[in-house]
Amino acid sequence: MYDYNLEETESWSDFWMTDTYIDDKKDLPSFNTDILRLISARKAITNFVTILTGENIPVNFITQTKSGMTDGKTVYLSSDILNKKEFDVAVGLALHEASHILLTDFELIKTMWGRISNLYKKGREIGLEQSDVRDFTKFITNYVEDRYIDDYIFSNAPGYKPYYTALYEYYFNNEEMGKILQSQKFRTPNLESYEFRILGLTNPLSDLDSLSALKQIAEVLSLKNIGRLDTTKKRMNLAIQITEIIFDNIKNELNKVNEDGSNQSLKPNLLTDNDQENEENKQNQENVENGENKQDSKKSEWIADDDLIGGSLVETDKITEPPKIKMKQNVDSNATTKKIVSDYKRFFDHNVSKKVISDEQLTLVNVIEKSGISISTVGKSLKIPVECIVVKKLTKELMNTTMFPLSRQLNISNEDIINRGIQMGILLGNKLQVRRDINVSHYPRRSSGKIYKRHLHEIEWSESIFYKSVVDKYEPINLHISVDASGSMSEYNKWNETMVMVVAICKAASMVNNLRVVVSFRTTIQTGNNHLPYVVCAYDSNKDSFTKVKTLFKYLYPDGCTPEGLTFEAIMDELICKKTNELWYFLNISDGQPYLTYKIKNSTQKIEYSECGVAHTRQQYKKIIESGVKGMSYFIKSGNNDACNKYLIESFKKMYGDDARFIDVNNVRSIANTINDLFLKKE
Amino acid sequence: MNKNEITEILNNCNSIKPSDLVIDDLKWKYLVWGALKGKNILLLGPTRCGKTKAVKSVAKALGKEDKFFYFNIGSTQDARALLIGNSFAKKETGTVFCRSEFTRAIRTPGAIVLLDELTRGHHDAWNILMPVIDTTQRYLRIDESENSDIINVEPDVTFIATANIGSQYTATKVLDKAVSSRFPVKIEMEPIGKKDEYNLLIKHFPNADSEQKILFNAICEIADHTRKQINREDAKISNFISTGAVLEIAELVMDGFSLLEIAEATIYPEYSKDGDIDSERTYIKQLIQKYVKVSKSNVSIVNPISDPTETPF
Repeated sequence: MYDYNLEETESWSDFWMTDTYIDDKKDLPSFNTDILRLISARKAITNFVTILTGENIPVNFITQTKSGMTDGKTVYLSSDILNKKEFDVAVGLALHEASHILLTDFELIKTMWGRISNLYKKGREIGLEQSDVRDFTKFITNYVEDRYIDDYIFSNAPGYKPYYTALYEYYFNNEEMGKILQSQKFRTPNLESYEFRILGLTNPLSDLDSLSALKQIAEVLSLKNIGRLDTTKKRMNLAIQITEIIFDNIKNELNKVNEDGSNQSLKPNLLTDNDQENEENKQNQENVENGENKQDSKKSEWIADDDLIGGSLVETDKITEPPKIKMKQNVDSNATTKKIVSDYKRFFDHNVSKKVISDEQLTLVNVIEKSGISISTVGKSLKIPVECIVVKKLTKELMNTTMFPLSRQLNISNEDIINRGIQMGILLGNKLQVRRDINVSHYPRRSSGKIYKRHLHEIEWSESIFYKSVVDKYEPINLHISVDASGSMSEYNKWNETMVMVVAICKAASMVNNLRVVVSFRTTIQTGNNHLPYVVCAYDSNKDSFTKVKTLFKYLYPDGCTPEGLTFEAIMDELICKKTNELWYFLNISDGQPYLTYKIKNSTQKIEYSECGVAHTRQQYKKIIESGVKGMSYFIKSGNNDACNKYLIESFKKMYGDDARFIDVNNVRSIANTINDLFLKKE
Repeated sequence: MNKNEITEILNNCNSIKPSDLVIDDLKWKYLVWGALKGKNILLLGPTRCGKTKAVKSVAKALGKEDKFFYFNIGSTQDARALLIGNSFAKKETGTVFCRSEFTRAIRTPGAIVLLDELTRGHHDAWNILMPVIDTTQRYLRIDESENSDIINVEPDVTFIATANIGSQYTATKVLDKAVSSRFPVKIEMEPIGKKDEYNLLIKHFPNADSEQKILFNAICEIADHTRKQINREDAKISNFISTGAVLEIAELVMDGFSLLEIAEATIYPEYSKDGDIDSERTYIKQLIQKYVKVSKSNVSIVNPISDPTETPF
């Protein structure tokens, strides 16, 4: 009968949530992984909102200091959604708010106050101010609206019901509510009692006989059929009707009191019991000042029947006397109930308390989301796993944050490399030989080859019944250039030379139709006392225009360590994503051997990657090649430092084998020749 | 058929529309008109939205089932063999040229010839078809040699071609303008709406019980959501559930599979897992979850949420 048993799962989000979202053991204390989780959470919740409403309603975090209410256009999230239980609650709240955006006519609600003149009149008759009438009517309207929203979600999205359950269980103490509903509290016909009892209507422990006219209200409301109120106007009208019933009933009770011939001071306090208490205290004070008997003033203090439960009897109020409208309640016993009512009212007022994030954090969230930052665990094969930060899209905003290790300041640029790169690129573009089309050459009337069916009838008197087809097929080329952006590249002018070549290749690719270029930079980023591998995809010719190269590349400066093989793993998994039949080439540009000291994930153990980095890099590079990607690696030498170069070249050869190339990266011809060799290998 | 007869049929064409075919009345009228007058029609639309079915329905509705010819241009390996014919060498008779079924079709008066998956066809097929569907030519040349035989197309033969459009159809080509211009009537077939789709399922499976009908409704809503989502600029998925797929899923429902079981086998595999929480698979799971039946024991008893209607599941 049922598809899913909730008992077998920690939270309802387990149905779709991937393992990597909530990982309490993530070893990145300073990298703002919470920010990444917030981003993922927002995306996931945005999905829910889109699915439920069919609209692209924006979802955002609260940044104001006061509680966030939906403004009719945006759903606001609390930022305390970093564990699964909180997440379910957040989904429930987002669904609730999104449904309001979809179903509630906020503009019509605003016009409500001009339509309730009758209520103002009735309110006046029972001693209420206009503001009190408005507040109470607003409460009833919100209640009716929310009941309709609940029904909508339950009917249209029954699978989302557990999120709702989590929401209500989180915000409201239902057990306590049930106890109070069964108690003698809130049985005096005043506004507070009606508020409470109406809130409790959906609680199975609700007592419809506890308050006069409550049954009538429940019948008018007809919660089982609330879906009939399919417009905001109908719901508003019902809310007005219910308010009228309540005011009429209070008026009747007042009249009963007057007919009783009781003291006018027994007039029920229509607002809250605390207000009544304040008023009576004031009255008592006046009486004392007037020299009245203190005892008399004491007699005017009415204590509600509630105090009979666990409280002391006041002699002037005997249980056997006919019930009078008693207003004052024991202050202590009110604390919990007041909180419960307050919580409910705030919820229905869309005013639940939400944890805020600062404006700076929100900016960071947006920047990181736009850049598509993810975390990939690498080094698993060596059993030295570490988190690698992968940035899928470089943006100028990201470069301004501490989450980007490469740029110095955006007002210091290296315009020269761009200019030289473009010049070189134009020359390179003319030399690159990239075949585009599928050329089929058909040679009929041959004496050998495949039999040409059309000439089969000539078989006895002709030998030229064969044909040959030659297909020259060149698929679109994808070239991934991975650049070592470690600190050592800043020496001996290596970085400038490298960047000129990279810009040149990007420029050449922009001149050629069939060539896609992706450029990534690899380095490390410091997080606390740890260094983590970091890869950023800075340019993708399929998605970015060449202008991006001209605009951003001049601000890039190398920094950090050399994580080589660790980043290759992440590049393969996250950036290349080779599909069947796609042609990929991997061009690695590097100046040296791996170097990095890092702490293993979920451990305090530190690893010197340089000890095993060469072998690991070789392994990862081989994996890339074995997946069908053709590779080549350019070595960037350290000037004329022969001793250093010799040592580094040896490591380089070990890592990249026959794919290692030692060319002058400023020589267009050398670059063109090596790249052409790579590209023109036929399938 | 004279003009009055044609007019009468067109005026009552909705009465001959099959009940299990969901198509706009005007589009159906165009199809009937084309079939009656021997016109060329091009049906465009996404995969499995009912293009081929619509054409077959027209043939059946007009009583031309025996004059209905189907040719899948997209899947043929040899366009000449399909459209013209082939030579066969036999010991007894020697080498014989056999004309194709297509030549018989175009010589059948009043035939309805369906050229399915035209955009997947080889260029050879388009080249052969050009003079055939051209209203000023209407012949098929057997060979390109001098004085080769030609076969004239009967005047009231209707050619109806189907084509997929969209970047997700990687094996298709952009239809040559010269070919597409030979089809003056172009009908865009869109996936049907969820209400029509639900009614279609009920027609196909009239014995469905109430639980199964609820599942049908859920599946139609899920499919409808996917179709609307992929048309968005910021679509979260790149694939939609076609009407054909919905019919197959409905069959699974009738055979007792639950929503989750169906999703695992037929829906989830269509959506990539790449991207973790951003993936299409996550989105689809969240969508499926909307309709999942949750065990009641876990819903809080003291529940302040109103439950005014019985939940459908």
